[in-house]
Amino acid sequence: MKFLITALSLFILVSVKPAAKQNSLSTKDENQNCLRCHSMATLSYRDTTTGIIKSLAVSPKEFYNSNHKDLACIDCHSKDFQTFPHNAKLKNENLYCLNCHKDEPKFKQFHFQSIEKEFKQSVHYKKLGNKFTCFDCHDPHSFEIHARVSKDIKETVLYDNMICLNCHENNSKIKYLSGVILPSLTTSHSWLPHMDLHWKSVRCIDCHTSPNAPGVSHIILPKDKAVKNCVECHSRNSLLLQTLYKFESKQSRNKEGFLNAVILNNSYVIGATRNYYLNLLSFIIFGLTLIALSVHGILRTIAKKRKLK
Amino acid sequence: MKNESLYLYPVWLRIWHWLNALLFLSLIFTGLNLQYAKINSPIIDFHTAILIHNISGITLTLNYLFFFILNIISGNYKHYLPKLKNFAKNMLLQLKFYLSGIFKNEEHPFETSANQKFNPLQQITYLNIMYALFPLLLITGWALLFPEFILNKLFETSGLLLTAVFHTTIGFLLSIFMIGHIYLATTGTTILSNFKSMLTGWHVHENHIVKSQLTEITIQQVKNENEN
Repeated sequence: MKFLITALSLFILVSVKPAAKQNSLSTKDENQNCLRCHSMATLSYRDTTTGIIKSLAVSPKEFYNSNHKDLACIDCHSKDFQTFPHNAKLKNENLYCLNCHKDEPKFKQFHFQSIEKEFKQSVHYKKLGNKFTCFDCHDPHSFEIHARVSKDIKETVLYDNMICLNCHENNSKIKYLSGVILPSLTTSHSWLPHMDLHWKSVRCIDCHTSPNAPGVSHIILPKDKAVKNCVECHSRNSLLLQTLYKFESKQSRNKEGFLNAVILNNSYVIGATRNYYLNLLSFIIFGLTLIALSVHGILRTIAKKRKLK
Repeated sequence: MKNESLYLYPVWLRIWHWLNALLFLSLIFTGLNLQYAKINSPIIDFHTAILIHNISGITLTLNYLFFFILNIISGNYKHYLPKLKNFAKNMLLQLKFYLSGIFKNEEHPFETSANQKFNPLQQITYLNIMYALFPLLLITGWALLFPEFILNKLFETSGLLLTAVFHTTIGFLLSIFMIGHIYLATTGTTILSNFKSMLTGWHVHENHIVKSQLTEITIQQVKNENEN
């Protein structure tokens, strides 16, 4: 009997555990069918109308680190992709982020509806209309949220700036989308002191978006409306507090201003980085010096007058 | 009167001193405007403040090098070296004078002479200011002029942040020194005599004035007696 119970328990353990594992693997397994081809870095085709080479590759490493890592390919893409060769009609599949992101309560904090409105006001949409979509900036196969969760602002800056640089450092993409060739970034930013340092320390969108947005602003501004006045960032109420440092602990910005945010992020911004305690100490030392010298001066004058008398 | 005065401050020293003062005022003014920058500043805009601060800083470095070299060549550096014998005692004596003796109209404990321009307190202060704080201020200032080359991380903190805080702190300490320096300059024979000395190069000795005044009084008395 004992043997039977032990055997039964073992059977349950063995049969239940792998079942759970099998369930979590199922999405991956399912995706593996797609990734068998699509993980090839060179998988691409030439668009016959534009002549542009379009990649069909998905990096499994990037995908399984992305915010969409728990999704199966066919959660977004048509189930018909499961048959191979794929139906040619599937090429015209039209995906839209807000199909999933609009009504889900867990996405409320990201303000997707507001993003949709902001995007319509952006220079990208105004100039390119429907030719420009979310996917031109955000690759759903590798997208990660950064600014909200990052502990290293410099990593966020690099990640977010690469989104812009993917197109703006590569004029062929811009030419394909807009038909124009833009001046190089170093030429258009030559007015900016310590250009490289700025690019490593702040995001393109910190100057090139309107900060009036509940989440990460998607109102990408044309260059003549971008921030060009240094003091907008280099001052106590730095614009960066509404942009790059928006998601920093609000407590750290109360009376200490930039202090704690700066210590957390290890950055320095002239005019904005003000150490509350050092400031206070300097005012006290300055005040005491003036008082001490005034008292000394008065006493000295009195003594001198007495001597003359 | 000139014969009774000491020529202590040669032309190069006076040029360095006043240029240094002028540049320092400009750096304090623009530095404060950068540290406390605000939108639509009614005083000076951020960009201009940076430009003036940088130009003044570079000129200050050249002026410091000018001082450093000529101070050695002329032998003036010797005045900055405190005499180790009775060093603490002498310093306390000078401190005691500033804190109490000066109110009792006592004489300065260390007479200014060609061999000893500075009192012990001045020596130790000027030595630290000119050969420790000043170079550190200039080095950190130049580092901030080329922030790309500053170490990214130092003791797990941003090198840029540390350099900037260090630069601001030294700048502040030197500004406080400047206030004290200007005040103590008024403790000469008359309030303005030390300022005049630094303009003319001639240090007027208190005793000489007293002597000359006494001589005048004596001459007057003799004249009066003769008239009577």
